[in-house]
Amino acid sequence: MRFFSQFKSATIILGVAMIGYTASAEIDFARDIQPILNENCIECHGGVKASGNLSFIYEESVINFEGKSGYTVVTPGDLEESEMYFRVTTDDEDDQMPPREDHKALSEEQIKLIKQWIEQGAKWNGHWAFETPSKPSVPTTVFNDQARGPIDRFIFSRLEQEGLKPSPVEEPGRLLRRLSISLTGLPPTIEELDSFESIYKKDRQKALENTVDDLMRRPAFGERWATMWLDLVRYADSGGLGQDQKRTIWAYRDWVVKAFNNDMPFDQFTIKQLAGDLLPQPTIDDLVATACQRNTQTNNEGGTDDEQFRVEAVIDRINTTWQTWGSVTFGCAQCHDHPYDPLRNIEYYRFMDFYNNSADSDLENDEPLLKVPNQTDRYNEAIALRKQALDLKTTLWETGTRLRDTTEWKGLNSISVSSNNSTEYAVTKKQTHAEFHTIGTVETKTHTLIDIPGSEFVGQPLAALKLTVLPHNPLTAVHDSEWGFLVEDLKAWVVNEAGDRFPVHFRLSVPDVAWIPTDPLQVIYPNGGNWGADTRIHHARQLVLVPNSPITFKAGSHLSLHIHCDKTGHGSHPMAIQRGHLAISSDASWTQLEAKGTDTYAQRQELEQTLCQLSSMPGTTVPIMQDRPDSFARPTHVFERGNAMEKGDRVVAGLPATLTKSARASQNPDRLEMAHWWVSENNPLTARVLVNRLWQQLFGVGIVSTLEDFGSSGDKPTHPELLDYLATRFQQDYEWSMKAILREMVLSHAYRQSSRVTPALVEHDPENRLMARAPRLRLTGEMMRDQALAVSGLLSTKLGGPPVHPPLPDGVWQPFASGDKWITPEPGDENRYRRSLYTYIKRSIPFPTFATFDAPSREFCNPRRLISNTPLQALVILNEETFVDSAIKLGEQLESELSDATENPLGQAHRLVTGRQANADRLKELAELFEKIKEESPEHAGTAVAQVLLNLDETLTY
Amino acid sequence: MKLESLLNETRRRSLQQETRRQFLTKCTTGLGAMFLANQLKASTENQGRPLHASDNPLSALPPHFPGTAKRVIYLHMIGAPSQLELFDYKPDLQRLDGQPCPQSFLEGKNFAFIQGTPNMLGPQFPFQQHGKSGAWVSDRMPHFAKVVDDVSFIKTLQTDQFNHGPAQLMVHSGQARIGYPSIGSWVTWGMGTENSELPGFVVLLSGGRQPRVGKALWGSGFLPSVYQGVQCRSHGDPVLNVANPKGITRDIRRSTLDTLKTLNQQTHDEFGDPETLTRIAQYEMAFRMQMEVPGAMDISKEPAHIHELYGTEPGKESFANNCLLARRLIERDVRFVQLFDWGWDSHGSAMTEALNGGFKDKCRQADQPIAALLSDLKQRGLLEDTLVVWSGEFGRTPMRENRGGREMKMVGRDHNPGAFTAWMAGGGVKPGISYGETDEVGYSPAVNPVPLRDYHATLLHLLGFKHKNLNYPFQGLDQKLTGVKEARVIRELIA
Repeated sequence: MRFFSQFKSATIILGVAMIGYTASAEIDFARDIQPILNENCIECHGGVKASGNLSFIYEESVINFEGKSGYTVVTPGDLEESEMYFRVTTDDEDDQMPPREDHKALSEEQIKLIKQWIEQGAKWNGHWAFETPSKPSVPTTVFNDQARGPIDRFIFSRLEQEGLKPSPVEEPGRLLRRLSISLTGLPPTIEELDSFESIYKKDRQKALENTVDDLMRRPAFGERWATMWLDLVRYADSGGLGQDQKRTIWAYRDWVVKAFNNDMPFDQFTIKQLAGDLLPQPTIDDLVATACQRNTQTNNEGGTDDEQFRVEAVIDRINTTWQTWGSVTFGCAQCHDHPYDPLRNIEYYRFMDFYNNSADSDLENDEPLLKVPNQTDRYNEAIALRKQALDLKTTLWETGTRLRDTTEWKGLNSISVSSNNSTEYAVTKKQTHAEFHTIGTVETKTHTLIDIPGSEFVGQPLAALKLTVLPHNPLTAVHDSEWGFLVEDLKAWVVNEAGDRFPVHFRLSVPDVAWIPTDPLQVIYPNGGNWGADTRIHHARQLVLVPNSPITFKAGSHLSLHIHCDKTGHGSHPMAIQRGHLAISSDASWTQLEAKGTDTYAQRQELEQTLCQLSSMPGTTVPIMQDRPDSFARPTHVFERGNAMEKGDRVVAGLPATLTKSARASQNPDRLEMAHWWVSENNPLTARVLVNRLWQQLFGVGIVSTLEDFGSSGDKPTHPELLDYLATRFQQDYEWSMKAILREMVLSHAYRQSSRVTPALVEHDPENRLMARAPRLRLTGEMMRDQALAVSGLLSTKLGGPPVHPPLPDGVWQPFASGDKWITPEPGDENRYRRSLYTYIKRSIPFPTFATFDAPSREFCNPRRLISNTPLQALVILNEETFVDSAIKLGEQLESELSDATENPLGQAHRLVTGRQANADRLKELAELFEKIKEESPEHAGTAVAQVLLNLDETLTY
Repeated sequence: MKLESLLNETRRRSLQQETRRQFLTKCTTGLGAMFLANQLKASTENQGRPLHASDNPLSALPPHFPGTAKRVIYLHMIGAPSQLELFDYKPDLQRLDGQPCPQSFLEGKNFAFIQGTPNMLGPQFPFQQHGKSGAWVSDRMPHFAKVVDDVSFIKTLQTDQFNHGPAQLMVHSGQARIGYPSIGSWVTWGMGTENSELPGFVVLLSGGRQPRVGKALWGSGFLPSVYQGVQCRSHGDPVLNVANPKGITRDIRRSTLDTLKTLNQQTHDEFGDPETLTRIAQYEMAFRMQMEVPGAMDISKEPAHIHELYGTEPGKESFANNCLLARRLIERDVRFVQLFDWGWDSHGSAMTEALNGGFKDKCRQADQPIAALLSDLKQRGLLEDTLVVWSGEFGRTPMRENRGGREMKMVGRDHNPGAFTAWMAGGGVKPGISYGETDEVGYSPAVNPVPLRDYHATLLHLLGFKHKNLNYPFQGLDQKLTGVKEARVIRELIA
């Protein structure tokens, strides 16, 4: 279908699109046969539906495959034994395919192609994008003299076939403007124009190479290219959906800027974002990179189900990964096998398993979080402390749980359980213990009040108490989790016969998990951490409590235990204990655990100290990826028909078979291997997809125009060999250096030629897919604003840091959650005029200037912006506060220069905004306007002229 | 979806389209070409996709077939008003009042706030039959009751979302997630607009709280951003940036734009980019918009009897003012006017959000202007081809909410995605009928359930669209307002 998008308005250029697609003697399955199948057959024999078990998506269900009819679908080289050929040619209405009731017969041409294909051996080659690219040979063309390298020769060769020729080189000022905006998002200054033009006169190539290198060394380079990436990974400073609360995650945005500036090789860039947390010795930066996956939306609306939105976030991670790195619409396989591409439904869920075990669970606090120091020179210190704390916690936890598992516990049988409110508990006898559980409606803020008679402790002092919490329905919860519980405080007393209460102090608690959700080791401290299943419970959870010293019970006394679960899930669901039981031990080892003088005591002290050091370090936080411990791994199931409520077979992590034919993967890959796989030597997609994105950023249209779909329903590349050349060059020769491949692209003639267009060329190639001229692109909203600030001298060049709140029109900022304030810095504060990249991005209230200029609001992966041209855009540049500030500033400069009789101030200003001198006509127009307004309203003359300059078509394009 | 080997077909059509093609080739690169590209694709593959003029993506277009509605006013009561206190009369529920809810109502259901076993809650206000149609309306809507014969109810709307954000998105985009085009965007894409000096798709908010998912409710999703709703305000700048900067008079602006136009014309002569011509046109349109918008949005000059009819107070942000504005915009041929009112979330968790509290105020604020809007449109002959739609995002439970597992001080109901009421008027809707019946307590449909996709298909049908054909390729799928499942036009609702 999208094949035809390259026709654009030109059915006239049918010939253009047809190059390479006319039937040749050698039948190419992907080129000649697959389109016929896709059009005529796959509705019934495809990914969604495979009537008679026949699917034309998969080789194994076609070639030498015996269909339901008992005949072989296709026998290579044997028409007689190929049922498919019989079915498309027979006149027998019962057997005819496609069925004539609602389908038309194949054309003679199509039947001929199928016949030839079978006769030639029915070779089944995959879709082009799923086959590893190889380095093509570079063609020679009549325009070789103009070619600056292989890129041009691929493009020229096509131009030659079309009877077109490349355009002459762009004039130098405009060329510098194009380079400068393409590479840094900012226009050149007058000084830069002067210097470039003078060097260019002497040595064009050198001037260009030096300039390109210089531009790519500027911090502005990373700021400009980060936007492309942040659109893909849907970066925003708010959580989206119900509350759209503020989210602190800007350290990730800065990481992306830095990665582009440091030219981090794309393989590293990939691995760190997909699995930086699983690297052997992850640095702070490696962990910050994983926040890529934490840009998913969370829903903190009251009464929402965290599990539903956790799963949605996981699904978004799958789809975004495949869109961003593969340009594959894997999301189609959520409900059924992919309708066009050989990707199975089950493979979608195997991929889900890579992400399903991350610790985040739609919590409002965005845990797990990483502390990121303000000063980068403290990163090593911070990561060392973090590691030390985690190691110590793990050691302590392992020691504790080992003891727990070797202790001989005595289950408690005669407990009584009640609550502080209307929640009712009943106690049921089990073989080794008594189990308590709620009945009926459970109220929020339930405290579980447990009474244990002294008789349970006869003959053995209480050295440790073990609390086990179960789901309300343990059988179904393993499969489909329940709302969990959260113990926030726990109090105990020994009550004597007279009713006097003596508080019991627990010295230590040993949870069943070292670090989820916050700090479970501290449950017994007031206002400390907490322990529980937040927010879902699958299976039994255990906590051991160790009193200061073993407690001996006198006759008639008993133990009273109050467990406080005050939290409500989203203001609605009581996070109460719904089922559980208790056990005790008198084992003296518990008394020794972490007792003064022991190793474990020292470890505990060290842990406290480490945590204290870490938290006192000035810095920000960022949500990161961190897997739950294996013992708490969530099982991954196929969702029946894509519905998360209906869980089917259990699956384990894996990569799609079609793609692992070329790029191999092990049987049981983990997330780190998955990350490596994307950038492995033979991965057919990643390099092509990325060079196509870079190309689109520079040329306006991708070599594959559907940046979002490289599958068989996407557009085909206009220059397949160029695409493969760039991909292999990027991956092999440049070892994934984005700067290197960009450099080669912008130094091509295709990029540096003129963007002037003749009516004949518009007619031949309206969308400039053939590149007989340079693109003429409109600035993005962000570039538009940055340019206005830059040319008026207002722009701050400060790099990075928390998001800023530039002027916003009145009435726009009405956030649902009122705590999120928009406080605009006063004039004079540099945060008023920072680069647009740093503007606070709230998903429910997109910054109007950017939204008007087609910026996405970053809910989901956005592979390309559709560019519009509307009156509302005109109103922004004419009337929006920042643009008006810029116009006034620029106008003031103009006025003072005009009165100082500086040489040609209008011409220079024109040059500043467009890259070139205004001709006499234009200067006259501008001067006349200035004089005219000067007479009527002297104080606005400069502003008016500046507004013309800022709104010129040439200013808005590059 | 049809695929690339439509080659021959394309060839044939390309010959047929000779005339159109000649027109097209005079145009454009850049944006114009982008639109043309998609449109041409549309013309080869799918007769349903709109083909806008290359220099105006909002050019007025005929839909697939002559529809009965040309414009839409959508009144959304954010928070989800209780159907059981307004239009869905359930005398049996009164008898069950205070009794524990049967377990069968609770099994397999998700509630936002109800815990365990709640009690049933009878209708909180008396109902009466009104008009020739004999429609049941509660005493909270006395003005509306008088125009009820112009209205047609759907009592059995169903959604699959029980939280506000996702449910509002379901109503407006057919999807529970942010990132899909709203109804207004689909319609504006499909039909463009007749008045190029006003936005084609206008959004009006009553003031106070914004909808939770904000602009996503009127976003254009994967459709070009030009089709997103434009929020207009009844005070301050009616459209963002529509006012000139301080000190810049209309004369100065005109002179500025004249110079700009001359220079841009030169640029076009030199570079030959058709997009430059489009830009010149957009600046001129912006200039006219600066005149037109403030006029259209100024209700102060409406006569006294109109203010009395609507209960409007110029200068305020209110639902009443927005109803009057809606009429003014419709008169000026705006294609889609979307109103959002708020405060209808009657859980009983606070005085303002309780059936025996804020709900009564909300009814008072909405009743008169809605009735006024319907009768005013009718008296101007506009109701015939203007479709007015009213809904929330889900219904409310026949059980009384027991948030936190306790009896609450105020009276309220929890969210019920199973059944809710919407109504439509004008635009070719069969007036005076009620479609679908809920069970004896108004919990689920008993007869004729209406999933949102059927509702959407019906709205599009009234406008003249085949819902299947109004689609846009995105992420490997021909995306539709009605989604992937089969949708049905509810013919019973059409006159």
